[in-house]
Amino acid sequence: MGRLLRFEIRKLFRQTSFYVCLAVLAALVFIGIFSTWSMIRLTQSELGVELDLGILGMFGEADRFSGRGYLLTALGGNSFSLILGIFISLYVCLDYVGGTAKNIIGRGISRGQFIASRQLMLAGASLLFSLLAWGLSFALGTVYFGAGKGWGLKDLLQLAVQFAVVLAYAAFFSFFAFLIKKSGGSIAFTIFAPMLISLGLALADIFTDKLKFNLSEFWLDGCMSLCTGLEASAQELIRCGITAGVYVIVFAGLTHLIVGRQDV
Amino acid sequence: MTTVLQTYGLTKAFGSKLAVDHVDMRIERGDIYGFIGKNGAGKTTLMRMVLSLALPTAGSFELFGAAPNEQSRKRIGSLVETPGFYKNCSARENLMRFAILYGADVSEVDEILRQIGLEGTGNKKAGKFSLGMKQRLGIGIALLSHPEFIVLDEPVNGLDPAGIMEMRNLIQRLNREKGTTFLISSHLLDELSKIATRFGIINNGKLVEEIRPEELREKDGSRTRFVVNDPQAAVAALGALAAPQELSIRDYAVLVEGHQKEVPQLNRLLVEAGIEVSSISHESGGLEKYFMERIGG
Repeated sequence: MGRLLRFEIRKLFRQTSFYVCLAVLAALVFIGIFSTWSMIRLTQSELGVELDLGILGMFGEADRFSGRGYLLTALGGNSFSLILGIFISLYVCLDYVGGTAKNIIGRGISRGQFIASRQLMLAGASLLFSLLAWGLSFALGTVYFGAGKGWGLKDLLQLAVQFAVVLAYAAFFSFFAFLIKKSGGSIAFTIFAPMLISLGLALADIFTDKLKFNLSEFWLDGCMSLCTGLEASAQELIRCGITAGVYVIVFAGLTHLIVGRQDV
Repeated sequence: MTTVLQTYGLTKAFGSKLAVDHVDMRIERGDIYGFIGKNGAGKTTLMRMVLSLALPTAGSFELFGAAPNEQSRKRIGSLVETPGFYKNCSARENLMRFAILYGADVSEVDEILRQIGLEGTGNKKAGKFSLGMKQRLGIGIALLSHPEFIVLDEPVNGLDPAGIMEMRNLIQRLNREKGTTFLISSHLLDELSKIATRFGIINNGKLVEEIRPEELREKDGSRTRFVVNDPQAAVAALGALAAPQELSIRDYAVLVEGHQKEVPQLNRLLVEAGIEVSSISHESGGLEKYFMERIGG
């Protein structure tokens, strides 16, 4: 397994798409924060007044425009999960598209090791993507709006739960990438499937209004939306964390169960 | 332990179609096993099962005298179907990656690049290689870490005549110097017949026959051709050793079927009968002819 991981690490850090996806993520973070700051500055200069950023925060979220605010909301929205999904598709499908999966499994690497090594690498890559988004968001938010206040241990819990949801996304996208085995199809799935599932669950919630909970809150997008909100409670964060954990176990397990028994 | 591969009723079904149908085959250490069959006969599917790329529907096989495991599979190199490599990497980077994975000495990489004729490709990405170069790269990856058993599926596909000869020489050298065992499938029967020490003929998923070259020469309609000054007299003289149906005349030559090991005795009969023999040569029916007869084509 050690040699396999060395092989995968070399492959990851020499893969152009890894750096392209990181660059695109960084660019989107920068554009998002810079454009907001620019809009606020422009508005202030046109109105000739200093705006209360707390009022400007959407849905009553105080401290939205700060280093802390941007840190805790960095992984929200669809951009992060989309970029992560595209990278995962390219990484997982690379060995199938190029035929190198035969060179790996044909030389004594078991299917279980093959899958596990990829899952470990994707967890590591997901951490790098998350650290980039958090770090850059916090840095730019601090530069433009100040570090912010209200720091506490709950922030650490929130970041940990966010990463759990990121791992859940990674498990979900990688399972389907392993099944589809083609980059184009896998990327198309990454783009459309979450959207369609969210839409379907939202409709289901309308027709199941007698239930005490919303189904869409248990979908990955719903979990991420909840745990990147500045007003999320500890209870909601724990629920998100457990839900993410279930997704990781289910999809990682399904990958071994199904893909591990397929011909290469 | 001399058996490298032994299959027991190995079977692979795709739906209701049996791609490999209860195949029992054996490859001994040091063999260059030529695997022959039409397109779709089951050669590649069987190779994929041996490499654990495809899971058998039924049957089993042994590698190096035991059930396949991680250690025994590490002793196999392979090139099956199209060569697998990373398109955006150079030949050297491809070999370096797999050298790390296989636990090979990275100093082997430059030697293998030289052996496969890709030492001058520099940083050129493998995705831009010609078909022959890609095939060479695939073979180079198969050679890493000095495997004891190498499985090659159409290894000369895309190679020019010089490349084919190089490949043949490389296989023979590895077999002779390191005792490497080979399982090779090829449609170039003439080329395969020059190097194989055993042949396996597969048709519609079934192993029709396993045969050695010397047995093939006895069965493939091979004949000895004596060019003589008096063919009729020669036939009469040779009747002492060969049956009438084994003798025929073509131009100024007498053709003798079979009796491959008795050529000196046949020649002595002609000389003692006062017949002048100007040349003796072997005419082979050939592997191709025998293969077509066995598969009913």
